[in-house]
Amino acid sequence: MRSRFAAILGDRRAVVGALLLGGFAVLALFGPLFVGDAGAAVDVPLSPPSWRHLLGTTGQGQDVLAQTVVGARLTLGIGLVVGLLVTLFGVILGVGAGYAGGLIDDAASVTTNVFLVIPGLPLAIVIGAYLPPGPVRLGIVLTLAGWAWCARVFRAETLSLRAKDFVAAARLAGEPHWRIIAVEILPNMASLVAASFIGTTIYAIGAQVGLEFLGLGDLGAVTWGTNLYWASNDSALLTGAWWTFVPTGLCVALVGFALTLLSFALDEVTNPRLRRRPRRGPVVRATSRPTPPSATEALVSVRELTVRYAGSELPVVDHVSFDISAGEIFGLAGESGSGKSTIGHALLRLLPADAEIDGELRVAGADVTALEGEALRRWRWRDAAVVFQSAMSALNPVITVGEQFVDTLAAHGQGSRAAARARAVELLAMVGVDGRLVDAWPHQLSGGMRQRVGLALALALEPRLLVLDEPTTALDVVVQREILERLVELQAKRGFAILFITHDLPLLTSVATRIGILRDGHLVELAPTEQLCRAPRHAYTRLLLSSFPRLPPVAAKRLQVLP
Amino acid sequence: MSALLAVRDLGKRFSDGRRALDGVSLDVHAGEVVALVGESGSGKSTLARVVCGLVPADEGQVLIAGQRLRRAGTRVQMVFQDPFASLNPVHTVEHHLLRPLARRLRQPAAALRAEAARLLAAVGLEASLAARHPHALSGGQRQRVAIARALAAGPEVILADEPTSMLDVSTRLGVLTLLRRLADERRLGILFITHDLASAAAIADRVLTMYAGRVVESGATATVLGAPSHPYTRLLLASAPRGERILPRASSPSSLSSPSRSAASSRAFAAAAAAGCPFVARCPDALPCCPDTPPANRTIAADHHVRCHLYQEGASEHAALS
Repeated sequence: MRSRFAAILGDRRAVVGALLLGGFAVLALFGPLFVGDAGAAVDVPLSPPSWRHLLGTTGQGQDVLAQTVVGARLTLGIGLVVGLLVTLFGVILGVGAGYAGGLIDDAASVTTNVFLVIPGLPLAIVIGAYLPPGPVRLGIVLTLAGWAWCARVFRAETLSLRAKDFVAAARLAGEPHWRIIAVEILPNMASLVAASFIGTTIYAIGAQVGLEFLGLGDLGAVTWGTNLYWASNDSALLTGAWWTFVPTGLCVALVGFALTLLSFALDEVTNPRLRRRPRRGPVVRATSRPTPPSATEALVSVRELTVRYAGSELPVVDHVSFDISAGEIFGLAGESGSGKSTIGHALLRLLPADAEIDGELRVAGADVTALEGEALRRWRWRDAAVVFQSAMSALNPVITVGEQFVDTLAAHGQGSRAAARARAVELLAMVGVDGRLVDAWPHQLSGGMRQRVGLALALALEPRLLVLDEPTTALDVVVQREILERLVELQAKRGFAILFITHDLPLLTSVATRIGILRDGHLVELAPTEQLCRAPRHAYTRLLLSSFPRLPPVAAKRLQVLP
Repeated sequence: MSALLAVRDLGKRFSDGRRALDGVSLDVHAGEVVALVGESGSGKSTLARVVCGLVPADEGQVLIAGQRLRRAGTRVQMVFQDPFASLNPVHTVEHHLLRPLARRLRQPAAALRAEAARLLAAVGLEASLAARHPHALSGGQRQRVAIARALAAGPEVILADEPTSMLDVSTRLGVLTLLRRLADERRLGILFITHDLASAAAIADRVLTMYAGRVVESGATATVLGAPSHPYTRLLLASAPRGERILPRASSPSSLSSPSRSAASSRAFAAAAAAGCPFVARCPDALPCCPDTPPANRTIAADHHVRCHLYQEGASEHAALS
């Protein structure tokens, strides 16, 4: 929390925004003491700026500077109060409804949705007609018109937080509900609440100035909105008296600008995707450097591959070299953060834009690092395809299984729709999925089924290299086993090469012919599977091999029937 | 000796009417680790949430030391699967421990802090981690903090729901060993939910296999894993990777295009086979009576129970017929 605060302070936009706002706050609080009576006519109407009246006079002969400064007080005051009220109501109703659930949530949601579909401005005008004029009326009108959006956002966030395990743990510890909300849920929403407060304050100032400009405010009061109303009323535009509306307009724009800057800064600091990657721990170098693979006819050849992300000194992958021959199952094992997935992504050129790749990557003779644009798109999937851990995110949820194949095949200019569909059925059968499921939607399939569909899609263009990144980690052992058996069978039949990436070393030893062990971006050991299991050379490999609990041998007796 | 945690005929339906739990009964004694294994969707996690009181049961009851447990409380604590979601990111490690300690002990802050430090030591963490936030810890460290938090509430039973499945392999064994030690030293009853038979074999005294919301086999670990009797337990054991090579089968083209056994998910069959045994569609040893008659729980040896027609009276004649 404290570090986030420091990060916000370190952001230049936040500093500019805060300084601007601070300036306006001082102006609103103390300015009126120095500028005299803003309402009194002090000079000839519509006189241009002069030394006596720095910003000229209005159509009623009032001092524009005094009007602008005095107007800041009520405008910003109402904006701030409405921003606070809207956020407060939003938190109470949204968090309350989201946490309580059931009937309370239903009732609150219906109310919120009703308020959301009523357009804000007409609602404000109608409510305004029934209340006595004055700043309180404006406050009530703007709060009523604005709370629903906030409540909806907070309810959604509460729903997702309420389902978290730490809330379940707090319930098990016997914490009362109010404490769970106050201590477990609300602190996690702090940045969202802050952002909403800034957003609603911008809304409150804008809507307030707008309403007053239309003449719906208290015309006797001096605010930025009424200043603009009177300027318009006195035909300032027609007479070219720019000084009567430009200062106020500029102030509104500057306040909005300052708040927006703060909101951007807050967003950047709290949005995880925009945050910098955490530093990694100390690097352990390989005691014995793996011998560089021979440069014979390998399908895949990786030479001195180094990947680093912008803003981080330590490479994620550090001078890694290996070969995969045609028709081989090559395994890469390592724990989280070892760089194993980065290598798989690099091979298919799927790394994010801020990653720098050094070294040589060749697949089937093609220099992967040199491919660009259309050539890259055509090469990917035709020569090298990939299956990730979560097939649900790899399949498009809004089109059927068959359409995914049609899309994939069409993207590579292969055949008609009907032919693509027939091919889809054929491919599905190949991975053990009933051809009738060609018309199913991804969400109708079990995890194992989706992973099979992902595999069939990857094989659709008969690639020579298949990259599998934790393909069975999310699955049960029974399903995992079936998919692996199918995979090994297909591989033997079709002869494509596999790069199998996983943290599960026993699994890898049951499918791969050679295995590379990665740690902190270094390939610490590379050996044929039998040799790696029998005589691991690196201490880390031994640690990984010994980390898995082993099953006792199963008794030979297959069935036990009662006498 | 009566069990510390006794679950009796627990039933729970999903909102769509399917049975998540179907008459589940189990015992966990003090100082005992009981592993509950099964695939996802078999009802393991639902069972955990019902047993600790987070979710109300539709039928049956949960007894702690003979007393009925009616709602979530400190007597049963849970260790969750995802160590990244089970700690609150805005609070320090110490904060996570101090609250339950304060509720239980009602002592001055200094004494509570000392107790928190002792708990951290007990789960194998350095005291210097107390001031850190969860994001500055590794997965294994977080899971140890989660275990310390469970201990802070002073429970008699700990439910560990897949506590190691999201951890890096080199830290897994450490967390498993810690659970075993807590059972031995503090005489806690631990219900260890996992899909990994090897983990179960490593620390459990007894193993229960669950399928489609029912316990289908139970017994001592060596018995269930050494001489698996229910066809589903056998399937699970045969599927577990043991480091032996998976070789391409000498297959005819037809085997390549045949749908898989698991193609029909267990959930689909839970509804279809409500009348008989839910495992019937995947069972290699199914008897003619299996689709229609639900198998009863039978004791086939001392502390070895199986819910399968193969072990009912007269099963041998059926087997001979089929």
